[in-house]
Amino acid sequence: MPNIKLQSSDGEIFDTSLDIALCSLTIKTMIDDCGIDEGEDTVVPLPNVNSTILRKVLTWAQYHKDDPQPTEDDDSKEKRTDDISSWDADFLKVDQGTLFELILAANYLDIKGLLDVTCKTVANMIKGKTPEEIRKTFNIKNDFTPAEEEQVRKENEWCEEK
Amino acid sequence: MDDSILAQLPVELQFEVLDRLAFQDLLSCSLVCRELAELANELIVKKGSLKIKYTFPVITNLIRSYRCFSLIDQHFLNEAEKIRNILYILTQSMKVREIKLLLLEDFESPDKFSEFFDFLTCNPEITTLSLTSFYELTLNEFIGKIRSILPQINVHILKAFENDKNAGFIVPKKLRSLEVFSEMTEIQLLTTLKSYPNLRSLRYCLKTDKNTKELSEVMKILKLERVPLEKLSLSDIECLEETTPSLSVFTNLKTLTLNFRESLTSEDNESGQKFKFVQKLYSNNFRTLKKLKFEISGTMSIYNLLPSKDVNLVLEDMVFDMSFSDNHDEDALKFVKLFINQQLSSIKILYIECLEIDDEMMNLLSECEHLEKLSLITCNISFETIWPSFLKLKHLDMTDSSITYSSLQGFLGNYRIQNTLESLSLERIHPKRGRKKQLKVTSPYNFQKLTKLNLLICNMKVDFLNKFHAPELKQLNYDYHDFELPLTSVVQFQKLNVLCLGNHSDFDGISNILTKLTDLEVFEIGVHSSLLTTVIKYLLVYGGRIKLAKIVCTCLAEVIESLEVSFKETVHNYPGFHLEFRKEREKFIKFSNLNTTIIVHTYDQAYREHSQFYENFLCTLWE
Repeated sequence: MPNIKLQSSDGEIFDTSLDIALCSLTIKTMIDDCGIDEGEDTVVPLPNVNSTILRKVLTWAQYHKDDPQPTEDDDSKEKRTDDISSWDADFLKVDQGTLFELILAANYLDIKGLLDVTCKTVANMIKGKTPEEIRKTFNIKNDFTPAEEEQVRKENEWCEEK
Repeated sequence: MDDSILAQLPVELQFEVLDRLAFQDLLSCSLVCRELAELANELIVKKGSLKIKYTFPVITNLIRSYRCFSLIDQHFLNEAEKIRNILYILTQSMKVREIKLLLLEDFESPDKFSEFFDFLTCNPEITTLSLTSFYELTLNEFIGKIRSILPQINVHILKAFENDKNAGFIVPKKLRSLEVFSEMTEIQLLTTLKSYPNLRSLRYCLKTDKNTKELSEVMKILKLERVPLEKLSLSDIECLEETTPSLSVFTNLKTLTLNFRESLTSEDNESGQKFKFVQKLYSNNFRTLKKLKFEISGTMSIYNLLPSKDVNLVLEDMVFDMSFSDNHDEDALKFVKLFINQQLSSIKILYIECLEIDDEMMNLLSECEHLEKLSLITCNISFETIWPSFLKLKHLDMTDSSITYSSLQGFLGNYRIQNTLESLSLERIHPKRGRKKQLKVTSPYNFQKLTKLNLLICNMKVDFLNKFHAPELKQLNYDYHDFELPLTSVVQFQKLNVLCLGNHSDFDGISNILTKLTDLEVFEIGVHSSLLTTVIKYLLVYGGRIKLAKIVCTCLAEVIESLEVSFKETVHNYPGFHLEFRKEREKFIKFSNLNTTIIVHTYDQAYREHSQFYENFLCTLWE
C-alpha cells in the first residue's frame, strides 16, 4: 500500500500508509474529491488537528486498521460503555485535555470507531457519579438556583426507578 | 460551564457523550448545570422509547405498592394488546390509584387511546394521573378527554415539551387542574397560578403548623389572578377571619372537600370559630356548589358544619366519610341525617362510610327522590323493616357492611328495585346476627338491567343464583372458600364478559362455561395444583377468545418449580400463550393467552430467594 503525507495544523508532516489514513472518511473524501493519485507527492492538510493529536490518531488507526467498518445497524443499537478493549483503555489513559482533543479530531476526521471509544471513555467518567461528583470531575460550575434544581428533580420524577 | 473542558466540545459531541449514558446517569447530568441539563433532558425523553424495555420491571416495582402504575406509552399505539393486558391485569388484581403516563405520540385521534380511556371508565377509583408529553396540544386534549371521563381526577403535569425542541419547557396554558401543597411558597404559587390562566380546580392542603395567614394569601392571589375555581379541597382548616374578603373567588365552586381529620378538638367546638369559614363558603356558593365531601374523624361535635337556614345549597353528590369514636356515633348520625334532610330534593349520589344506618336514616334515604347511586360502606345497617323502594336507584354498594339478611332479601325481592338496579355489590357483607346465616333467594329475582354483580366473600346459599335472573349481566365476581358455585347457574348469564369464580373442580362445568358463554373475555378460577394442567388444557381447547385467564393455584412452595417447568413445556407447544407468576403466601400462577405481558410479583421472602430463577425464566420467555 502506498504512503500519503498528512500535514498537522502546526505544520508537521506525517508520512503514513494510505490504508491507515483511509480510516478517516474525511481524508478518504478529500482524496476522492481532489483526485489525488497514488504516488503523488501531495500533502493533505489537516488544519483542525495538531501534531500531538494527529500522532495519537495515527497510532490508534494503525492498531485498528483491520477492524470492520461500523455499519448503520451498529448506530441503531443501544450504546454500551462497557465494551472498551484493554488496548483502547490503555491508549486513552491520557489527561482530559488530550481526550477532548481526540474527540474533536475523531469527529473532524470522521473516524467512527475512535469517536465511539473516546465518547465512551468520557461517558464512563460520568457513570455512577452524583451531580456534585460530575461537576468536580469536569470542573463545572453549578449555575442552578435551589428552586431550579428542585424543579428539574420534579420534572424527571417520572423516570426514577422506584 | 465555560471553564470546563466538557464545555469546549461542540453541543453535538456533548450529545454523543451523553447519548451513551443510562437513565440514572442522565438524571444526574440533568442536575449538574443548565447547559448539561438541557441536553440530558432531551435524551431522557429520547430514551423514553428505550425505557419500554424496562417497563415491566418498573411496573412490577411500582405496583408492589398496589397503588401506582407507570406506563410508558411508546407501545400504546403499536402494541395496544400489550397495554390492554396490563390494564386488565391491573383491573383484576390491583387497586390502582395513580397512573404515570408518558405520551410520546401526538393526540391526533382519541380512538388511538380508546383502550386507556375504557380502562379509566371502568376504574373510577383512580385518583391521580401524572403526565409527561411532547406536545402541548396532546396534553390539553388528552386531559380534556380524561376529565370528561373522571372529572375528579388529579392531573399532574410532570413535564411538557413543545413540538419545537428549541423552545424548551413550556407550560400548558389550558391546564385546568392543579394540586398545590402547602410547602409551596407564596411566590411560587403566584408564579404557578399566573402560568395557568385556565385553572378551574385547586386542591390546596393547609397544615395547621403553617402560618395561618397562608390560605388568606392564597385566596388573595386567586382573586388577583381571577382564577374561577370549580373544585377546592381544604384540609385542617384553621379559623381564618381575614380570608373573608377574598371569598368572592369561589363564586364558581362546584366541588368542595372538607377534611377535618385530627384537626378539631372539643375546644374548637366550643368556640365554633373554625366553622365560620365553612359557613361563609356555603353562603357564597349556594348557586354553583354541587358536590360536598366530608372527611371527618375525631371526637367532635360537628353541627356547626351544617349550613345555616338562610343558605340554600342544592347538592347532587354528597360524601360522608366518617370515622368517629363510639361516644360520638350518634352525633355523626344526627349530623348526616340533618344534612341529607336539607338536600332531599336534589341528591343523586350518596356515599356513606362508617355509620349506623337505622330505620329513620333509611326512610330518609327513601325520600331522596332522585337518588341513583347509594354506597353504604362499612356501615352497621340496623334497619330491619321493609326497605323503601328507591324509585331511581341504579347502583347499590354495601361492601363490608353488616345487615340483617332477611331484610336485605326482602329488598332485593322488590320488583321495583329489580327494574332499576344496574350494579349491585354485596362484597363481604355479614349478617347482624348468627354467623352461619346465608343469603338466599326466597322467590325468583328478575333484575332486568343489572350488568354488574359482586358477590365476593358473600356467604350465600348454594342455590342463590339458580333463582337470580339477570339477562344483561356482564360481570360476575364470586369467591367463597366454603363451597363451589354451581356452574349450571352461571351459564344462564349469556352476556357475561368478566367471570371470577373462586375455587373450582367441576371441569365439565368449566368446559360448559367456556363453550357457551361466547362473550367471555376475562376468566378467573381457583384450582388445586394437581388440576392445573387440566384447566390449562381446557382453556387452550375451549377458551380461544379469552383475553385474560387467571388461575389461582394453591400449592406448596416445593412444587412450584416443577410446575413452572411443566408450564414452560406447555407454553412451548402453544407459542401464543404466556404466563404470569404471582406469589403470595399461597402460590399463585397466572395464565394469559394474550401475546403480551409477563409480570413477576414478589411478596414473600420465599419468593425473593427464588426471584433470580423466575427472572431468568421469564426473560427466556420474553426473548
